[in-house]
Amino acid sequence: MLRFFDSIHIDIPYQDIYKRLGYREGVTKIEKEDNEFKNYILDGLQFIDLKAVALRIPIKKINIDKVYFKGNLIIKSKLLVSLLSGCVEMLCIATTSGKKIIEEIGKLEKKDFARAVVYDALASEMADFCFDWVIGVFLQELKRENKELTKKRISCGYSDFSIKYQKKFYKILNLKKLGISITKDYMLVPEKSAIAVLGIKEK
Amino acid sequence: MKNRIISLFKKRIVLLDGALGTELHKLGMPDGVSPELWCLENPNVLSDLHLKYINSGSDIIYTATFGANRLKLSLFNVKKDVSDINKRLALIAKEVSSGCLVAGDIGPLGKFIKPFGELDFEEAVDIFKEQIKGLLLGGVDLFVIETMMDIQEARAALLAVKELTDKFVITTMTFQNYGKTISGNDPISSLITLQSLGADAFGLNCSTGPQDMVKIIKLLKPYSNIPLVAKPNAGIPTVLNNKTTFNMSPIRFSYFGEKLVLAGANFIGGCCGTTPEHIALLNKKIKNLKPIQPKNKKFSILTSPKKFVEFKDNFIVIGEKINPTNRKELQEDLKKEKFTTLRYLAKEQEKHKASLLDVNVSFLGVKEKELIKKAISVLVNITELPLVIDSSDLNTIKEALRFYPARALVNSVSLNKNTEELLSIIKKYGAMFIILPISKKIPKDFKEKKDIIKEIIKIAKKFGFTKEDFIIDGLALTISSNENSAIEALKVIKWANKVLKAHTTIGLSNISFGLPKRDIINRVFLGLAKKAGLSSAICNPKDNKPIKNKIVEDLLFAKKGALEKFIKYYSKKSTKTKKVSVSIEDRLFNAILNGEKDIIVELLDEALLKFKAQDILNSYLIPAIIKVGDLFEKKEYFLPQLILSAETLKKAIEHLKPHFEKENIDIKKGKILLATVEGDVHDIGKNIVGLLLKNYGFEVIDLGKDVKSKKIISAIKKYLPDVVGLSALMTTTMLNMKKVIELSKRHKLNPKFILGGAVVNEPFATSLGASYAKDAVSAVKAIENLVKK
Repeated sequence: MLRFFDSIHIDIPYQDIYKRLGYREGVTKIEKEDNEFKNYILDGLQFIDLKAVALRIPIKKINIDKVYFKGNLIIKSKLLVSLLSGCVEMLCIATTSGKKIIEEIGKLEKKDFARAVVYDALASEMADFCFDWVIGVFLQELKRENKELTKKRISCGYSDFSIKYQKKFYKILNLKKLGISITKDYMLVPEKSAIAVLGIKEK
Repeated sequence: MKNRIISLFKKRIVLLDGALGTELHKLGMPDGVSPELWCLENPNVLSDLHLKYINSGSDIIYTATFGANRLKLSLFNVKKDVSDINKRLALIAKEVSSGCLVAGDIGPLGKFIKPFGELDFEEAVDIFKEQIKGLLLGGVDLFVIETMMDIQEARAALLAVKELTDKFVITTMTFQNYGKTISGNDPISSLITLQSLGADAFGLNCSTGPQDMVKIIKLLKPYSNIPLVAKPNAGIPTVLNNKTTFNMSPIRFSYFGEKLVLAGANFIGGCCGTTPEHIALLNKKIKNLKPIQPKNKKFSILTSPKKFVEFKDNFIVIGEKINPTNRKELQEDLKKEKFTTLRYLAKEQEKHKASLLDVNVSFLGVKEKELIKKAISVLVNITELPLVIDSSDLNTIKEALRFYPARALVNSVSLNKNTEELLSIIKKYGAMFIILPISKKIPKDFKEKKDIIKEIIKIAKKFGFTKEDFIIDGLALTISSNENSAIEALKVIKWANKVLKAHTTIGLSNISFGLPKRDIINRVFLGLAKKAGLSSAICNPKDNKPIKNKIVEDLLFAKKGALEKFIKYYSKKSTKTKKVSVSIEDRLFNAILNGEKDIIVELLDEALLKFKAQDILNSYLIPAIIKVGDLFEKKEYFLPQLILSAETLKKAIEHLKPHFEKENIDIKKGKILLATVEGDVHDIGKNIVGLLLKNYGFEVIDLGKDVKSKKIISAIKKYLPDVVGLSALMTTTMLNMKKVIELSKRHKLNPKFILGGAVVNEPFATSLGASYAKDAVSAVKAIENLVKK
């Protein structure tokens, strides 16, 4: 069953946004708590529209380089085999920071580039933390089923886990509903949208 | 029964049971089944487990109904009989309880509730009620709402219990080891919200081991008027030989039991991984310990799902701007149910350090009751500030309080035929309220205001409210229509502060309505009101700094001739320009260094009176941007500062362009072609490089993102660039860089290539015979070198 998350709550990851922008603790000479760029982050939040979808897919069989899932999905990848070894299900998650922030960045690049750069970092970090949030929800629920998640998550395009599978996940996760489209080169649009998979193990 | 539980926790620590789920698995429950249905098929296993906990000393055991709600059971094809399933599982516990109390267990629905999710709030309340009715039929003695990840779900479940029964109800939420729930709810706000809503006990279960819970219980204790509950896991799960175990032994677990008691827990048990042995040892360790009773201390605390604001010694600013009166843009938006302006006003006031946000959506032609819920949905998702529900409509306040996922402040309660009904609604939802001294008519002086306030307090006391639950409004009316208005309002504040020892507020901007220089009047009045003991103000957060001003003070104190003097003085007053002593050269240099885009043109015009455009560029602007680059490389500047300086320089060069033409100067250093390669839609890094290159005097031809290799080759043929910069962010697209370089060789084109992007590294670039740059500043330096070669 697909689970859509429309209202996702994460604290603004200031630390990570600053780090992405090159801030170094004790070296960068700007007041971290009170500077105009912190206001940019707060302003940018209004354009962030975090959404996510997740799906648990039971694993039928794993061999040396392929994973067979319920519903005839077969993925050939040694990296995925190694991630899912010992798992009973795969958890697929997609997240997006939404279209509005990307449009706003596009507009700002022409008139206020510094703001655009901050918005870009904000959107990236929010989408990344969104994964952690969805994982947190599943961790809580899986505990009750005596199951747990693998520590690692991977995405299509890593090592031999071909980017082409992104198209399959796009369909399975019904990402159109999140306002995401996919290019012929398997890139998700808008930017700051991503898919990742984890394994579900029995304890 | 409620009294029995109360007398129990007053005497000693109340011992709860341990885990059911993990124990049932050990006893043969397979994975993938509904634990509730499996228990009904195996009632003896469940009875035995309940008995084991009773024999371990548990005072309260939980029914095995954690997931026995309509939504979760439907995953196992149970479409009806939800109530019956709950009743039967409660009866299994009751049959073996023999004097031990049985708590009807209510777990989360597995869906997020509005305003944080899809599930309608009233539907959630109904789903919980269906479960509760079954548990009541099964004869449970109390209720426990547990493992709540989100405050709105906990509220829905608590309201469902309270609307069906007055039995004792425990509510526990699950906080992660970083001290918040998954939804970001913090423990103190959650406690205040649920305590105000009528929870009889509040606490934590699951997620963490007892060590982490000790810290949170300690944090909660000073704010708790009700007993605290701790039901930790048997430590944090660890993986051993490919198997996950909760590794805290019963002995060690019981050691932390003692710590939990010392921190202030009154009910203690175990969650995932705990066993009857854990509970038995815990019992031994804590049974003779004296519990710390909740103090009946009163607080004036308001909450949002993520934050609490306490009226104490601090001054509270209540942002007044979300109010459509005289705000046409907000009215237009609200009419169309668009919330752009509302969002902006909320963020703007938050930025200017408002502590609370007043929310009023009332104006002619809107359905206020529906609109306020939509506004709340938007606001709780964009701001952490607690909300003040501002309406004169009883039903709007009722709907808003039921839906708002925290403890709100109601603005306001005045004296009229609805006062009692309004106070009963506020009591039910545990909110605070502002007393506005208005009855059928506007009171003319302090005495009349005082009488109204006293009457409202008398009614409020009947509902059990205390002075910590309300805030008294001094009622500021404009001095342009009543010259004594400020004096009368200050008297109310002084009296409420000194005599009633209550918190106070004032609608600040009302005082200056119809007069010039309103901000000055407001701020002077604020200073006087603070001196009289004012604890908060409903105002524009930008106006929250008090000032002293003799002319305005005379006006506010209704001194003879003060108004005429005020108008004469402020119509004459002109702004004096400050004398500038720093040289134009330094100011130009600093404007680039500090990224002062707004003043650069003005400075350039001043400088052009003294210097040639070329001298300005070479002597002040370029050295400044070089300095910025150095600071960036040393990490003393971070990226936004670099960009701001670069944009300032860009603006400066654009302004100087006509002067360069006049002076017949060509500042172009070389021609650079930039592109993000095919398949890649990321281009912000490339655009930063483009901006810096232009600053350094290069001509930049930017082909954009996702550019086909053939198009890049055609552009090389057309523009004959000195250097081609290619960018890629993905491992999957960086291979297209290779394609471009190979294709250019095939076409016998030999421009210099430079590569960049998150996944690109020097060895990769070198292997293709290209240069590499790790960031925008090093890209500019590398390109300068490539062009010189």
